[in-house]
Amino acid sequence: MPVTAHPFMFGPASRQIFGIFHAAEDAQPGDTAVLVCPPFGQEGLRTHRLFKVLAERLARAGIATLRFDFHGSGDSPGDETDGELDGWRRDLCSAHEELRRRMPASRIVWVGARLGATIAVLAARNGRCDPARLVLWEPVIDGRRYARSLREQHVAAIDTTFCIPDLAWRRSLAREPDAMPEEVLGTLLSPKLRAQLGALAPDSLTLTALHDTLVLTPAGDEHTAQWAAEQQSRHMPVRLAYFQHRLDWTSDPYPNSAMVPAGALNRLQGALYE
Amino acid sequence: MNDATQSPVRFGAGNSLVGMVTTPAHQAPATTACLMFNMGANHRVGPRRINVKLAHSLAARGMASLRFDLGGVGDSDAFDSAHDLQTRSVHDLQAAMDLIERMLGIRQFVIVGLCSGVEHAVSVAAVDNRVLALSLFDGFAFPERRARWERTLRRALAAPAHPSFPGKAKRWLLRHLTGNPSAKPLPGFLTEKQPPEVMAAWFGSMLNRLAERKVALQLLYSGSLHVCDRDRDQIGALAREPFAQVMEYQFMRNVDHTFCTAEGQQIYMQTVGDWALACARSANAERVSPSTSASPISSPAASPAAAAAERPLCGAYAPQ
Repeated sequence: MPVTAHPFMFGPASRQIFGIFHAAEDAQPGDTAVLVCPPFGQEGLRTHRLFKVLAERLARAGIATLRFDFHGSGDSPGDETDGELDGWRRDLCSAHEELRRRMPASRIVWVGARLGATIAVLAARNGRCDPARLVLWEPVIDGRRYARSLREQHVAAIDTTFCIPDLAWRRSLAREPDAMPEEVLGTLLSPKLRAQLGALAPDSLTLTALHDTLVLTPAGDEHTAQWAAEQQSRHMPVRLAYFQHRLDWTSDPYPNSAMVPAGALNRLQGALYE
Repeated sequence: MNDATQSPVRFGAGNSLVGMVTTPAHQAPATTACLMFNMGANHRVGPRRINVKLAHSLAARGMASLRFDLGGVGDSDAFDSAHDLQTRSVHDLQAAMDLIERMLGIRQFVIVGLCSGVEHAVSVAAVDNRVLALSLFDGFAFPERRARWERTLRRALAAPAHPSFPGKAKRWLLRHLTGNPSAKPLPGFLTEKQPPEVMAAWFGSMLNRLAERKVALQLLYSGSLHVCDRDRDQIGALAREPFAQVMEYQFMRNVDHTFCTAEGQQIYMQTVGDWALACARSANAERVSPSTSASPISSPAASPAAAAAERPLCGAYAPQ
């Protein structure tokens, strides 16, 4: 079995980032390279294996892939309380530059999921990086709605995991449903991140014409569909595709909960060529 | 994180294993290092990134660590398909110790085992004298009738007040009465069941052997298993075994099985960190004494296959 995945640190000395580079296995790799932008917190841990398998598949198909962890997440240094969108946007650009250094002639596609997809939109907007395409899998376009959803999942996790759960979490959610949480599912949210999520709204998240964009979202997600339609109305090159899958973004990796749904793998791989 | 230096590594047979070495940034590491690895299918960072947080905390207090993925889990490749899971895990943990020995010259280890990792940690400690301490979280539990009845009663009393219980009851009924395949746990090392008496006999005999060898033992149990613990309830009759007289036991009511809350994470990290560092200090004091310094620290005592042959096939934890 050839070892193609190389774990390493990169980025500025003051803000090192952990990454794994999956070199293309073909002697003559294709003209595309992929940068995976992982989700936040528990969603990031939950999708680790999926993106590992995706990267291996892509490498076998001749597509070099870089996976990385944002500062204060996964294997990257830093505390969770340092996490915020501006820093993560810079991390993404550092990762892009690293991939560009390794694959200078390739068109680079960013595959982002959940908040990772949102950070991809923010990073692509500033012009410092030059992704050819964004694949946005269920991007977070409304920070308050996202935070509320994470809180609900947190309460559900507490209910499931404790022998007899503490009702205080559930009461707090009922009392202040729109409050920004200080912690969700074992991850702390910095004050700055809470403020940024509070300000994140569809109107504030705009695409550019510098790259084309494919948005993947479940049928019935009207908010994302409307956001994509608004971007189209601004003549941005964006396409929306509905995509159902069996991945539970926030659950623990127990049996009966698919970690690497084949449908998701196939859809993400296919998204590179559409 | 300024207190730690991170070094990604590939090691083991065929360079198949992926891990991260964390060392103190401003001081030489202690002469004992900590090993962390997977809990079930979680990758090396652990559930809710607890292994990373513990690694950073230990580095700030002077202890190096390696967190890594067992073969076929997380980022590690499944290089060895000739042996069963338990034997492979023992090989992988020994490869991790070999790596730290080569990189840092450290030959004494505290191993942190979480849930299914408890069985792997115990198995490697049984065959490798470099292991001087085991911290075992939510591994094997054998509560006796009184503790089980009390848990059931407390849950029944709490049920009317809690909106999540109807859902839990429905899932329990589906699983146990209808035979609904979608509600049945899939076969695998996390869920495959062995008779409790088989598991208890293996666990008790292994820990007795380790205690005889002066391997320090810390058994931690979470609030996922119970709401109270009167007298080391989770190990049941094993509380009367010799190892239980020298182990550290703690029931952590406010910590859950997957460290869902910041409070639970802090309690766990403080408890394990303090204990691991105390073990390292104690081992260091013994190491310089004339009576023990002549004995080799690093010499595998028996073959992994021998340890594997005696063990049950699975971990004990089942989601509540």
